[in-house]
Amino acid sequence: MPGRIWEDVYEFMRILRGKWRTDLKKLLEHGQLTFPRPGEGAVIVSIDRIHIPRLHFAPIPPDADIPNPSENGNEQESGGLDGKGNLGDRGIGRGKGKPGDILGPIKKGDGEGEGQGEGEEGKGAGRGRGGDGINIEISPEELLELLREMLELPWLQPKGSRKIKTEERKYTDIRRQGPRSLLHKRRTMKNSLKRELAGHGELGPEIEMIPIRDDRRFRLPHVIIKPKTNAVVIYMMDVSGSMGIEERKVVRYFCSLCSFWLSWNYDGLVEEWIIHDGEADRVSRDEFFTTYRGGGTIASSAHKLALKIIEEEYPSHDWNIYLVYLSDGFNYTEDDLVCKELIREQFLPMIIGADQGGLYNYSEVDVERWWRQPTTGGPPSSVFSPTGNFGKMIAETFRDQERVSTGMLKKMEQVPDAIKRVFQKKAKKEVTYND
Amino acid sequence: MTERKFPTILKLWKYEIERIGRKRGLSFPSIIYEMVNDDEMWEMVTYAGFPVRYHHWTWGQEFLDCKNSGRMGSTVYELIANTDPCYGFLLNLNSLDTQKLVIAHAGCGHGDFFKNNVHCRKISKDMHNVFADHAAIIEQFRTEFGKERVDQFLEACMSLDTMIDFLDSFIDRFPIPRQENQERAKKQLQKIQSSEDLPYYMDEILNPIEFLEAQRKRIEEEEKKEIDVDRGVKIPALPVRDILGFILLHAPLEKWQRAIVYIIREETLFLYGPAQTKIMNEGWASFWHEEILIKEGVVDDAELFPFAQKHAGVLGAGINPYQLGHAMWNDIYLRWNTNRYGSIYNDCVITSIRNRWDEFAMCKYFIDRYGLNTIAFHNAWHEFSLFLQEMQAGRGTYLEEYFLSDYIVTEWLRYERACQTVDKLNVQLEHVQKFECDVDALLQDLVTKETNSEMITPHLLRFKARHDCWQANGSPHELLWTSIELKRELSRMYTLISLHDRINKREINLEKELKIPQEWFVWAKKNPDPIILGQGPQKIFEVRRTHNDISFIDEFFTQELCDQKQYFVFGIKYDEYVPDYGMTDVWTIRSRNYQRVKSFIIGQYLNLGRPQVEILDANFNNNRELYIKHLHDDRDLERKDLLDVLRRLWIIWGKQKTVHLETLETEWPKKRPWWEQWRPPGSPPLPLQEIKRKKIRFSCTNGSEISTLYI
Repeated sequence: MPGRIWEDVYEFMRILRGKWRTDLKKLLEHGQLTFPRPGEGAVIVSIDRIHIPRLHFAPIPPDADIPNPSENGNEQESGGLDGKGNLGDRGIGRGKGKPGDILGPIKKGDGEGEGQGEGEEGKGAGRGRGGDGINIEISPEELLELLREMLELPWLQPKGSRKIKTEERKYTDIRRQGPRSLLHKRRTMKNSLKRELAGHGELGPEIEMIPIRDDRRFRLPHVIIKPKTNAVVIYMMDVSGSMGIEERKVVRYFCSLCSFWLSWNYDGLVEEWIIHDGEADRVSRDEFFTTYRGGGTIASSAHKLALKIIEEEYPSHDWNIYLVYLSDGFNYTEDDLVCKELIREQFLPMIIGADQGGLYNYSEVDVERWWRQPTTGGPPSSVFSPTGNFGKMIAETFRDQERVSTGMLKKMEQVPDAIKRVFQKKAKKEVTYND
Repeated sequence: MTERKFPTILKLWKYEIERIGRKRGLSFPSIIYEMVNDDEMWEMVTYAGFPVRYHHWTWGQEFLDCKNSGRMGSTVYELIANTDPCYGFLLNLNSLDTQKLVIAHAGCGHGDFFKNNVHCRKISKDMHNVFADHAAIIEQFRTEFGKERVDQFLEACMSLDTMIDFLDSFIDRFPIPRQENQERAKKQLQKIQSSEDLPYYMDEILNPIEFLEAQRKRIEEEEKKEIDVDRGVKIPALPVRDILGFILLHAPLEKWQRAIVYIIREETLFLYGPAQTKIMNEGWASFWHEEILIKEGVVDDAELFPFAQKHAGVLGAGINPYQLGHAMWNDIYLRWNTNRYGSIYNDCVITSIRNRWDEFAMCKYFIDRYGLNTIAFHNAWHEFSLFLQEMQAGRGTYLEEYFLSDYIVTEWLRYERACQTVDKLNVQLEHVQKFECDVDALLQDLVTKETNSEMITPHLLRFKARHDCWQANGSPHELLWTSIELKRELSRMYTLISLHDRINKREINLEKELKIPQEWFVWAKKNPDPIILGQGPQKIFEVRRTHNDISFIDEFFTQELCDQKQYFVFGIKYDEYVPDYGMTDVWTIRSRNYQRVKSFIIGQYLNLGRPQVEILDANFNNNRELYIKHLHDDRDLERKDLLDVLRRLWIIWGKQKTVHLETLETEWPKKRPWWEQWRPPGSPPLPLQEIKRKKIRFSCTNGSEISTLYI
């Protein structure tokens, strides 16, 4: 009776739909959400498989030390299985090569000790189950509702004539007509009771409260239209050579989550995208999320370009301006000072004032990489400082300036927290640059 | 809705392929095929080949996984379940050549294996109905006791489904209970007897007091245990591997819960049978589809290339059950044809023998028959030399470029018996020709009936006519040959006979004398047991009947096979420089030693790659607590899943009593920094740091918290 399986599939999907709500925090932290462009499509959530626990073997930890007895041709002496050297065997494969030959680097998806291997012409790698999930689509509205409690744009000032409207609906009034979904049940029953009492004269068991058409009361929304405001968010990203694959992944996740949340919440919010290495460029959203250049790092170029854009298109007396800058902090030392001056002299006056809104945020990405960890055999920390100086400089200079915030992104998990920190109602300055 | 009917053209090919399979000695139950589309095939894969199984969301998840993997490019061509009659599912998108391959592979190969292998044969063959019954029962429980309750219990059982004794149907592990009135056999102290001529005081030295004391203690303990067992204080008497079975008998469960445990156990036991012969079964089927399609010529020239592509796709790259099994069956076939086993082969270190084993085998064969250094022996050797020369030159039964040295032994055996074989074949040919007259008559009827389709040629209809006639004649084995095949075989035999004549009439000159090295005689003398040749076909059928994967690999995986197929075990090497990556950890070949490869494969397949656990005590602390022990084989248990399993076991064990699990925990030595790891080239590897293991016990008392205790 083929087709029976679909019942199980629906049941499974039902369970998954319940699951993503409860696991949202974890999913956000692991970057398992893929956001659509503003205003289109659904959010794709990749949920881990649910597995039924069964007893199974633990893989040998990746940093266990089990020397290979058959290295250097000692195979015959050790008899193959003596000395427990075979405990370090993680899989079998097929192909040319002699013991000790390198098959290839260990990639992230390679299953650990998952057994089956593959070798062709001396090249091979373990093949296993990576962290594959099952994708489900959810509507952005659903997600936003849950995210709403987390974030809010700070210092949004009434400004300008165009763009952002904020409106609030509160059901404070009552009327006689309306949609069924807005039926005010208590009022309706009350009316029904009143009518019955008027007929009988007193309360008794024979009274039946069955509302008729005239008894019905409906809620009426009272719309409070808030003053209009304008806002522009300018994202600036460092795409120089020092930004590795992992760094860029974190940065892009940060920006996509940020952009998703802001653009779905604030109608008509304007976004601008800038990437820079030695030079800065104004790019489209798609380019921003796909470009990699790899050159030197001059942060001031991006800041200059941003200021130019603001000057030409978004005059500060009409707009709230949010500047979000992401980098790994490896900037030229002389350029640090230029940036500092740019922010202090030109940008801050635009956003500080009684009726001004806006923010400058700098987030520093510092994903753990081998060459930043002296313990794994990389160069000692004196050659490369463990973090760049840019963040330290900004944090120290603008210590008392509450419109400037800095943050640190060490891994994917910190992205939601970092966003929360940037756009909290009252952004607190968090200095996390103690070594 | 897809057309599920098995197309006529395939039906006709099925007759032909099955005829050839039967001819070659395979025997399979009748097989019913159904055509399914892609989705339905994945569904069948999820349900392990049974259309009706109980509903559960895990199937839904697996199905989606399968579909995903299908999108990534993997295809399932066929699926067949171990029942009688066999139900096979074929993908309706397969081309005709694939369908032929699949029918030969699944129908003949798997069908024969299911019917004859002892591990698959033991199982009840009416499983379609049983599975459907189970589904109905669970559905009934869901309405009766509530969906959530039943599902929770069902899931708990599912996570224990690896804890069964898959040798359950073969071994009665419980000792026969003693009769009431029967006295317990008294245990005696075992003393070492001294011979008479030794002085008396030697008795004390032979049997020191400590030795006797230890024995007495042990006997006392054993007796106490036996008494406990009799009183019912100690349950079970011996450790029990079949945990689900034990729960079924002893856990305080309601009736419906007991039924669910029974259902899970029954289904898993059934599915374990085929699963523990995975390598053998797939290898066997691959071996036979190759034999039937290529060697018997079912595939025509145009289909050869697609066939080779599919065949190589399965067996070519990497290592998988198909590839490994196929290689091993071929290896066994060759080894038993040429006596590449036993001490005569394994202990031999003489290179001239190992390199020219086929010739040595023939030499030994002649020595066994005619004796060493006799005239008859030298004559025989001379004849063999001529025979080999002619075969290599392509003047025998093979073309020059097709001849392999592997063929020489079997070909010689055929050559020896050519005359007798010809007589036999001639008799058979007569029978077959008579039989084919009947077939022709039947064919005429069929052709007049089936005129509507162009695809159905008389050539194909002949397969059906042949099959029907054969069954009407009482299915004798000799009528499975066609006259064409017999004639081909006869012409081959005549070639051999003519070769024999030419050799006997001394028409051929020996171009280069085949010298026998002196050490051959020495080695032959050392191994007086007669050499047995040409046992390949019998051997593979025998192995197919009795082995399972573990014993199969253990017995027949050799260093030569390992070298030939280039298997290796790989592991991790730390901190190597790789271009484009920099310093990183890498995969590296650890060894090509066949023992290492073998132990890894067996580790993967032992108990289907699941940890083995057994119940030590079901009355622990004299409080009906369950005590389970993990049989540690150098591999630790995954901690998180272990705890979850323990919680579920607690549910099944009545939610009242504590459940314990004992295992070992390994402290792996930590990676040393690279400057310590470096060694000068050529020096011995670093010594293994000590691996410490601690005994640890997990106890689940209330279903959520788990306490750990190092003991």
